[in-house]
Amino acid sequence: MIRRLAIILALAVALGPFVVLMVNSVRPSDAFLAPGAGFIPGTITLDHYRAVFGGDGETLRFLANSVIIATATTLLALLLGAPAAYALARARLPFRLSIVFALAFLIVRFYPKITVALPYYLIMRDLGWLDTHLAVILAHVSVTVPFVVWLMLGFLEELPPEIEQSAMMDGCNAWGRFVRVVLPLSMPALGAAAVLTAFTSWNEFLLASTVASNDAKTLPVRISSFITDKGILWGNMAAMGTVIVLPVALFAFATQRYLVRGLTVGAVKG
Amino acid sequence: MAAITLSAITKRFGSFDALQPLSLEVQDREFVALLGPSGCGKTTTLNILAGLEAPTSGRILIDGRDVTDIPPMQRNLAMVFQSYALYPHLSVRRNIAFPLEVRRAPRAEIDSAVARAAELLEITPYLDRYPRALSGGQRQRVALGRALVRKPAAFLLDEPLSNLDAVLRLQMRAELSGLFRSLGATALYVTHDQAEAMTMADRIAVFAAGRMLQFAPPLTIYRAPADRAVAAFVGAPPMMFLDGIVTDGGAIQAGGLTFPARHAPLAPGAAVTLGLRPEDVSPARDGPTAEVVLVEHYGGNQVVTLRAGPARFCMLSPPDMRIEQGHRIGVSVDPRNLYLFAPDTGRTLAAPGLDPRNETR
Repeated sequence: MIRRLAIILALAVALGPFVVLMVNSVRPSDAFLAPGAGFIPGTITLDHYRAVFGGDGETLRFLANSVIIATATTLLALLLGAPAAYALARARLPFRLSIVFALAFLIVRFYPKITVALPYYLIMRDLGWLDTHLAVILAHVSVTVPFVVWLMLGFLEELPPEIEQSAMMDGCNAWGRFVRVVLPLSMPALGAAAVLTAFTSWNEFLLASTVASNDAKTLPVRISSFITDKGILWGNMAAMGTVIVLPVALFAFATQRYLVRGLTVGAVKG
Repeated sequence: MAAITLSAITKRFGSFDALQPLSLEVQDREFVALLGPSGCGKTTTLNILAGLEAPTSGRILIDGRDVTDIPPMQRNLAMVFQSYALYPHLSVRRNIAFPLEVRRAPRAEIDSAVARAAELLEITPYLDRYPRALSGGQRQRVALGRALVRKPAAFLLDEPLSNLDAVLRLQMRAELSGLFRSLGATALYVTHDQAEAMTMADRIAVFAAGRMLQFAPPLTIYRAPADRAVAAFVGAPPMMFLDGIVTDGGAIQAGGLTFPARHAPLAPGAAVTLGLRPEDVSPARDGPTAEVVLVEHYGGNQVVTLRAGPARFCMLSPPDMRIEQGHRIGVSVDPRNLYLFAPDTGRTLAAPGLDPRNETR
């Protein structure tokens, strides 16, 4: 009984905001600030969705931006992170340099991103890349590569060494072993890394808002523009929020096996 | 196929000497077993030869070519791992084809080589399965197939049978033996199973604690061991050791028993260690007696553990002989079959295989 209560409570805390978001996205605008308005709206409306998607079609453009940036970020982060992890896991570097490098990646994961937002803005300005997909993608890659490296490191360390030794005896050099043996065997971990990287990029606000004010704007950044000088458009915000969250929720549900595996990689033998 | 020379190889892990200076010459087409208990350096030797580990010092030559600094993929050696190390994401066919695919061999050549290897190992029906759907014995064959499919300079096998159950192990032992003989292959075979080494190898290198104790044909290892450690490791049931003293008459007295000796004379009063192989001890009507401590009947024969004074030893006796625990029985040992070791160094003083008068050996 207590266990069930605990689960229900935890679910309520976790899903509560999402439910409020969904409810607000169909609440008529005038009901937001009306006195005595309850949690369940008296009437529901799709006006906010119409407003968000209608008109100039800007939202679709931002959606496309988000998709392009998340996809490119995922590909790049895996392309860089997986070989880096393999090198860190296998290379015999002097002075425990492997550990130093690995820890360097760990630090990148944990410092507050606001500390680099302004310098990054300046670099992108000087390069003339402001408000381009590339600027957002590079920022997201820098955030996600360390994560990919660490997830893959945990996985690679669990791979039995004989399989690679066997490939060595069979004539594979390091690249051959990586491509022919390690990568195919790493699919579960790569899948998890891809999903989590895509989510991170899809949700990221701070860096995207710093360097992409218009053309390369992503959906989360778009939300903030509903805070206008004439007031906060709660309904539009909620509708847009739902549009952002839904694909993530569906995708997470579809790939939950990978996700759980990826989050527990290193804890259990595969 | 090729001859292999290890010259003064050593290996250090930190402050631990895994291998004392080791020199070993394996001839072309020779099947050599590296035998010893776990941690004795035999697998380290194999890994160094394979190139998976670098020796601390010493040189490795394959057909006269120094390969010490050449990476494993360029040494042209094939290895079968204890864990088989099959590629789980590839079918049996692609596992076997792997070494040829890596070398970008023509498709037709790969197909025919895989078919030949599969037929030889009788795994043709499983070619399209994945390793996870195979039994241990079948995986073992796939691992062999992967080694056989190209023409390596030599085969390196690391305890290839140790993960199989007892019956299958015996069967594979005979098959492997025949296979490598028919291939005329140079092979180094690491095992801790003395029966495998005895039955399969042309020569056995016996290892203990990072040192090679002896390198000789199986029967020499058995009948003329270099020292007590080799004698103790080879033979089942194992040789038993008794503390003895040389009598004035030149016989050996051990544990209340006197064994007539036939060996190079030793100084009377000298201490020796006497080694008795169970099959060299036989029941006798007269002569010294010993108390029966334990009878283990194996069906085909029985192993009788005997006690005489402080000494314990074993006797292999015919299956139909009634021997009862607690009784005393007479025993005799053919003096030609006595093993004598120096008690301090363990060096062999006398052994049946060292005695020129044992002309049948």
